[in-house]
Amino acid sequence: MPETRDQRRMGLLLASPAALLMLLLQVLPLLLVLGTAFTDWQLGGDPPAFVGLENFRALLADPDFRASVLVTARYILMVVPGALGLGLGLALLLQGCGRGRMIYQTIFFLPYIATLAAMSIAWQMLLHPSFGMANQVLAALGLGGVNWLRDEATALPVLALIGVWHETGFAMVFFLAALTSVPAELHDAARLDGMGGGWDRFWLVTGPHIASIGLFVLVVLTAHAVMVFDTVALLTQGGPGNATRVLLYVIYQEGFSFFRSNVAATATVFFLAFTLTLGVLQLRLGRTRGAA
Amino acid sequence: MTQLEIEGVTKRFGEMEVLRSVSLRARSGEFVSLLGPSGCGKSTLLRIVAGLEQPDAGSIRLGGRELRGVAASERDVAMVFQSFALYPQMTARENIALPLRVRRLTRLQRFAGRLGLSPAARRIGAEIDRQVEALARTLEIGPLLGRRPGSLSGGQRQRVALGRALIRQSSLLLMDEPLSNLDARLRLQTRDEIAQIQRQFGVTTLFVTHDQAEAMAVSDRIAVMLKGEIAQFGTPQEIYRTPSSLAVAEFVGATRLNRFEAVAWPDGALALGGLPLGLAAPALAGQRVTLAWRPEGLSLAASGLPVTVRRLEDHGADAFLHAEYEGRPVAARLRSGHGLAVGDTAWLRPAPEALMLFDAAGMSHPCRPLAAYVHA
Repeated sequence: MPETRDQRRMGLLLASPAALLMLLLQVLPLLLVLGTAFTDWQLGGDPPAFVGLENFRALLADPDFRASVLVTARYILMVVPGALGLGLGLALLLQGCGRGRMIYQTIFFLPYIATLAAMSIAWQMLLHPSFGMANQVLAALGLGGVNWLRDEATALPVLALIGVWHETGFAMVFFLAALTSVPAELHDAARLDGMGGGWDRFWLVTGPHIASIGLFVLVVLTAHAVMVFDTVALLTQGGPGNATRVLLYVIYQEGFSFFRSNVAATATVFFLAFTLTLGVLQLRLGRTRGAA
Repeated sequence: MTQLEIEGVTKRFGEMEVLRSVSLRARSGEFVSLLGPSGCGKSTLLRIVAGLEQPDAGSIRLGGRELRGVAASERDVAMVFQSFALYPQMTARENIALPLRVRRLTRLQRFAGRLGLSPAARRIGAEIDRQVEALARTLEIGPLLGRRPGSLSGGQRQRVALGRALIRQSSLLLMDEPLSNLDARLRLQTRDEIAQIQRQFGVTTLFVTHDQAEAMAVSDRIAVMLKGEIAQFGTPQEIYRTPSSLAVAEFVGATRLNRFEAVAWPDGALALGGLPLGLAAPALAGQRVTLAWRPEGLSLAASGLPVTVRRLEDHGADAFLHAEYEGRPVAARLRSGHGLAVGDTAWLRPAPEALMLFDAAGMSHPCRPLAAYVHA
């Protein structure tokens, strides 16, 4: 049916509130951040002047910023394989579980839907150097306690552990869905073809079948991990030293503690570039999965 | 020589008894069909033979070897699945080769062979390749070997699945409704090819189907399964001509059975609507019986059962008459050119030699010509 002029005008009119809000709340801030990255503007300072790529050069040369990229990378490298492996493992165990499967599934998924900020308080209690359960257990075993969140060696791994605890349920749910779609006849065929062992059949049948979902989960988990903030802000504030100063926390500090808006904006551009790449990747994978 | 021996196999799923003491023997090289409606337990029996399900009781011997406690992967059994169950990430060649690779190469060799590290693995791999190529030529799928299942048609997948089942030359081939995922025309063609290939390879075959025409066309013998039991085990002719029970007679056959309730005379003589059949079943004297004929057992005559013509189907070579006798439908196969029209009254004469006689419990009974009985 050909559109009349009136219909087109009506359509634009109806779409305009949403479009306006999107422009105002999403596109405009993004452009402002992008613009700020090319100026010397600081909150409450002089009117901004254009400085070109100076901010990018300075940030890349800054050892603290480089360190924070490394810290973030280390965090990702601990959380993503951990949550991926545990999520898959739990999914495989739960799949063979008849009764009570829903109960276990819910329990393992709970950390993901619980507010991480609130849960951080619970973790703080557990990890408290003197009355936390972790150290009390160590003491009961005759071992010395560790100041988990104030020790440079343990702070980041402990945060990663909390990250794994939080994300495992998420990965598990996706793997469970993928596992139910593996045709039972393929496993039967593999048995008759001589693949008696569960491990052999995992590689022959299950693995290839869930590979695409696994890749998808990997990308999403990476996106989640690069955005870690709650636990850092509440439990370590980037410390001890710079041991847990992750990318998002740097942006937060630069922008809201030091009021160096231009530096924060430049770091945000880096951050956005990375998450945008992941987002595109996720979209692509989602599409191929839908097509398969 | 008996190749497969199923004895007293019983299986329950919870409260439901799916198989009730099923026994069956197949000779070496024989093509045996398990024919029955869905839910009769035929697929369960097949899965038990394969080792994919465990029976609650009974034993299965293959070539004299007891299979109880032997894992599916250790049984000398191959299977073609309803969905074909090809590994989607592998080419047709890799799918067919897999059963051989698993058995002839160690896990390490399979891995090293892929990297080209082990000369022994490469030698065995080349030998396997040769066998796959030879089999593919027989199955006429040579040009398809490099393709993945996703890019093959249903019929092509079927052949690849058959290739994977035949490559290891196991002593028993199981097929679980292998034709049900094909369209009607391909089904007929593939049906004949399966029968031909089975004879060519001489492998003992157990073929599950719910389609009686399929079973009749390919089998040496058919086991009709009803409600978890083997109701009859015999050649297609025996199953069709002399069904052991009314239930088998009704299940086998493309069209409905013509059934008539009657009472045998005190001397056992049988008659239908006052029309003496010249037959007697002394064992059923005075009892209620069911007389049944297949449509080809009734023919037009100058006298006999008066029927009203309701519908006529012309099949070219022959014709089908759907009529009514005493308010009940009757079907007869006639020669073309019968000259009948809807609404006519015609007379059908039942052929005594085509009679199937069943007692009140639905079990088959023999009958003899009356004259012979009188003389005897």
